[in-house]
Amino acid sequence: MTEITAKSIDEALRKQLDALETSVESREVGTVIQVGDGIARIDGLKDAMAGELLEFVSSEGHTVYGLAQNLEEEEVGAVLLGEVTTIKENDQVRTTGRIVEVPSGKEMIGRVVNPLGMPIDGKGPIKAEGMRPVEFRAPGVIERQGVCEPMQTGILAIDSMIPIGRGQRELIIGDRQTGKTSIIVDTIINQKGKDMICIYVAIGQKASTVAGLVETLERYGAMDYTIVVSASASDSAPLQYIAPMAGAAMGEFFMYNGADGKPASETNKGRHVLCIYDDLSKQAVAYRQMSLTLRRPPGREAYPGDIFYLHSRLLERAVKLSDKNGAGSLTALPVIETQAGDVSAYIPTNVISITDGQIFLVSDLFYQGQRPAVNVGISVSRVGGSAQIKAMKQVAGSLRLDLAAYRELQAFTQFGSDLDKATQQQLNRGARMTELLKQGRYVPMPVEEQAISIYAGGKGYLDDIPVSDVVRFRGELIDFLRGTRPEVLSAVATEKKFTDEIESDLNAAIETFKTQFAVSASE
Amino acid sequence: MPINRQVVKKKIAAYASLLLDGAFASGGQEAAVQVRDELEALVRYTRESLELANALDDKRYTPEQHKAIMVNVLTGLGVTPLLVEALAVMAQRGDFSLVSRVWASYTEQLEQRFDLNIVDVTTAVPLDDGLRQLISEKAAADLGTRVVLREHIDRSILGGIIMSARGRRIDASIRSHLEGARRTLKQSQMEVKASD
Repeated sequence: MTEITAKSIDEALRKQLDALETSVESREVGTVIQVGDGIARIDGLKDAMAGELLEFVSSEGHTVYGLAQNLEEEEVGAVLLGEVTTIKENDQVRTTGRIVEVPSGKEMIGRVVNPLGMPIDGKGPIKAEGMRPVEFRAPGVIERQGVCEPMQTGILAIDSMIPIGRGQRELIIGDRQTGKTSIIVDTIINQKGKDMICIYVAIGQKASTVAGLVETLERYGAMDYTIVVSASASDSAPLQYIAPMAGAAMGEFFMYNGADGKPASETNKGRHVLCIYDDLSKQAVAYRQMSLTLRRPPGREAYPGDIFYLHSRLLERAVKLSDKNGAGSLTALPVIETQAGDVSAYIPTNVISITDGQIFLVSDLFYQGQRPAVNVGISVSRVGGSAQIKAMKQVAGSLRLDLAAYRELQAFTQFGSDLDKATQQQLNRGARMTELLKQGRYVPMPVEEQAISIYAGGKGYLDDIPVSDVVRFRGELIDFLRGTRPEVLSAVATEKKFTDEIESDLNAAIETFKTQFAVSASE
Repeated sequence: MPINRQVVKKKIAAYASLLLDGAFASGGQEAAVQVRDELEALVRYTRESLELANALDDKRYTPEQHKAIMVNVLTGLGVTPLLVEALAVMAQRGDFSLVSRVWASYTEQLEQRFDLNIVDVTTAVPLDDGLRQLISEKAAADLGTRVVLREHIDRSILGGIIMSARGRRIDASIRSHLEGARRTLKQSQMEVKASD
């Protein structure tokens, strides 16, 4: 145990006192003209910069920070972050010369923080490695490279047909209660051991919902590589507004720096980051509230004119950096909640047009028991095959075709008996393939198991299995392979493609398994 | 109908110029600076007085009633008659919301006309002659013009001095130093806790 002596106390105090700033500098000062609704109008501050951090000092001596937003001829409009009620008219405001920054670094991992990076999980203070600005210019074309590595979600329906690459921006869109957050949680859980830092940004959600999610992530060991940024529904609009940017800033630290904390380079590789913004429609609402109270002119649906710019500059920060810059990546999964499936509303159309694809979740499918309720017909990933391993590409093509044919013919199912054999066969296959895409929560599948499952379906091994047994068949087949033919699984995992040899081994294994698979009694 | 901002600027400059001329005529530079101080105090008062702002905004009152309200309020505050008259006219014409800009324009014109800079000095105790002289010389050297010190006493700053001029402020008060020390110690305490 360390001995505490008068000398050590003296040294500790001296060290702290050495850090005291005793110099006096001239600073620009303004006065609060009006304050209310989390917004302050300030007289003076002629040199304030857009987005600059302002320091408000209340008459009682409290310091509250704000964000300069409107730079007008005679006054500055600012949004307040924190204890807004302590600020009154005639209080002083000072410029700081810097923009809002958040702490970042490895110490943040496993923590739940507010959008200013302050811990809210009761686990004590965070000794951050550095600070990063919440607003940061996205890298240019030269600094990037094309998306080339897969970001596996562990969800069969997504990884097979809507593959997401590291550095991509893939929108998750759907009505409330369609399983958007479930997909996200599964995706985070699936990143275990994949050298991916996950950042989950909860915007405008109930604190209890966020607590539940954190508990789930902890249960599955996912908090070891995850940071949760929470701006709950009770937080002020400015905090909800900066939350996604703060999350991106925390993620950028890992992307722009190597594992040693030094800037990434060809020799010091940057890390891979997955940033989830759940959800941007609530951020848009918070920004609308801020803009209207700042008296900015309202546009469509009363959103301000720069709402597109807000989302585009946030999502443009998702990137796959060039090898010269460390080859790190930041994958963005923004979430948008639609109202009654209306994707033609302002914010959904904006974000659809910004992102590199979208995963549509549909209430009807959800209530039919097709979970995850991904509508594979209208979901798309514009990065496509470059973010897939070859094995998945080999099998996913036929899956897409089978499902497309199935959807086309589905309208005729009511005349089942009048259909020719080939059509019936297509319907039969489609029903099984659709069933194959069903997946439980918190059970992400490794990509080789996904590929083998689809392979089995595509080769017709499921055609004589009752639809209700397809999911059980898939699970038991994987268990069988793990138990008796693990070399087949590992061959697919290492080769990343179906060679003739793997195919023949796999066919034999599936046929063996089929002989021992017991069909449910009810069928 | 929206008014051109150049027109508004001219209007503000006209109010400020009229006030400055009137103040100078009544008592020279000292009176002009005195009016600036009173106007500044009034700006602060009106920002905090929601009732006054609401009354002057209320369209049910006639311009004459707005003027009467303003005269009553200002007379009660013991403001210079010139200022009462000018502000009453502004209230009557529905221009009272421009008062803080009139103050800024007035200060600018005052400084230009007399080639000086007004420096607000806040201390915890009254300045003595020696210190006053020292501050004046230092400020004049820094700003490159003649300076007029406007002294304020604020015991809450505990000690030291706060100087403001041209929208900038030098805070060398004991209060702000203590606040800085509090923050530094709190920060280092948090760092120690985090490293534990």
